Amino acid sequence: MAELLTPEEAARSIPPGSTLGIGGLQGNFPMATLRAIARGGPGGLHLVGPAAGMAPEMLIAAGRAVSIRATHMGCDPVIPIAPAYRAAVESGALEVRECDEGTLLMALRAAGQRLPYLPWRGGVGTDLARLNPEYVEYVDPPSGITLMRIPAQPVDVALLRAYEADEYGNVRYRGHSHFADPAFAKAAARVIVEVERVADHDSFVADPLRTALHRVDAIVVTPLGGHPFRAAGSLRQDDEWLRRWSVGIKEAIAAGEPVIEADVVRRELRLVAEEDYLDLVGADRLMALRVAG
Amino acid sequence: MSAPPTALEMDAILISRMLSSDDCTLVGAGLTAPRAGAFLAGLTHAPGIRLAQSLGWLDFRSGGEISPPHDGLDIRDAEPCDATIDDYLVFDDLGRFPTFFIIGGLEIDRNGNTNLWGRPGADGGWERRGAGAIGTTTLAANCPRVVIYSLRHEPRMFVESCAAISALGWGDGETRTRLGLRTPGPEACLTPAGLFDYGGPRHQMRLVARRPGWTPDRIAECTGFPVHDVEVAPELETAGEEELAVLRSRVDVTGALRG
Repeated sequence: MAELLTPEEAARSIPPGSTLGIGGLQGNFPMATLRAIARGGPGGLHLVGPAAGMAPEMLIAAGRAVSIRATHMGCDPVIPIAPAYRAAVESGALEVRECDEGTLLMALRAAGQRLPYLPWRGGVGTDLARLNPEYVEYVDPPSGITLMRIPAQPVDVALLRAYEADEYGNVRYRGHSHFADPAFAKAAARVIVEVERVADHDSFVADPLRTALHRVDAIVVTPLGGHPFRAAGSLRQDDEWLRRWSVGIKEAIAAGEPVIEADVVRRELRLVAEEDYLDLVGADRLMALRVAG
Repeated sequence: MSAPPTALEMDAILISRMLSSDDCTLVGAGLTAPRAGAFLAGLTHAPGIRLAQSLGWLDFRSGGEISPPHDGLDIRDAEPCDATIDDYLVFDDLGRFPTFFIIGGLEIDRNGNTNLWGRPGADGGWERRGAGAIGTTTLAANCPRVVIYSLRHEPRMFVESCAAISALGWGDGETRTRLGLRTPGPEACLTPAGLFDYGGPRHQMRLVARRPGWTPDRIAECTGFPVHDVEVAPELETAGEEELAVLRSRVDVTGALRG
């Protein structure tokens, strides 16, 4: 049986200093647990992912992360660049381990395959190796072509969001993609998946082809917990919430305040549990964003 | 006589003309005009085109209505689709997908190298950080047809050299050959100033056609490096009646490209 955790329990189960892999891609983010980490979870985190999107923005605003390896921290065109992320990077508080989507996926794949590295063509001739010395350009002896050596990126905990799971930790998605989540899961020592709901195990046995992840370690059931981003089968993105976030962070920066003191950050860090967050957003707002599963 | 095309409509039409039935294209987040261009190609001269967006393979049978600009990866962009894409496998078929890709940049240099990372600081940190390269670093090295697309044309964007290169264009003109890359650099660059290619000496940027209102002097002032053929390139031909009619009636029915 998989562990059944609340977001707060999941956050507390992650040791300080862990390498945390974050699933999703411009949505389907494990936001409830990321919020719980921001409120009172571990610090000193090394973030890997998501494949694209600004899911860890609150966690960064709360000062819980020391490094990040992500391909795109924004939400075009609502937020071209995540403002707390940008401030943390430009101040030196957050180290960027440069990558792109292809090199990130190869790094995760190498970890899953227990290889020290994989070769990749993407990135040769760019400044990738200059900005991130983990990568090395080399000439492949048999072919004579230049390739990039992409070192494995193992993660301690993969934190993902899907639509439903059974009590054994089998996981299914709705919508158009599993994103890069299987790659994160295979690279991880431990896999925690947030879901919208619990489904009966027999339904997985009846349709095993739809099981995307098999027997993960822990499940966090958080209906509507993907807010403010879209979650396939449950929520549309809350563009207005994201705009207000961005404005709030930028106003704090313009006023010379630390990002953590911004009203939009403080109002969330004061909360105790995910239920308080959903109350903060409001039932009417959430229902307006809800989509049929 | 229909109203003349807007700049975004012309973007869609020019991109449409670049595409053929052999193309298998991936349109990135928020690129409304390129998406419309791919639809227009599919509905006119390129019925065999394959278009992926927002992790879905779009189904052209039902027409090509585009939605207005919105947030990055909207599932509405992938509807209707007849197959889906798993992001963790998206680079596993690079021989066939994508064959045509559009790249943007915070900085673009004369050889079509682009920068989405930002400006590194002297101390190893970042003086000005961009959002990131998404998949462009990998696709620029692997995709056989790359077009650079920019909604602005100004000196701080079109620079002599990028502070950091996140996606390789033609490098220094010979870089791709030196590295043994099997694909060429960008074939075109489409901006509010006009349509450019990289047919200048050592694959430097060359003006193919300028937009109405963009004189050679204005293009030179707004570009941080000398552009080849800026004095001799003609003005861009306007849209044909038929392609504009299809764009407006079957693709951009909401008027997203008309402002």
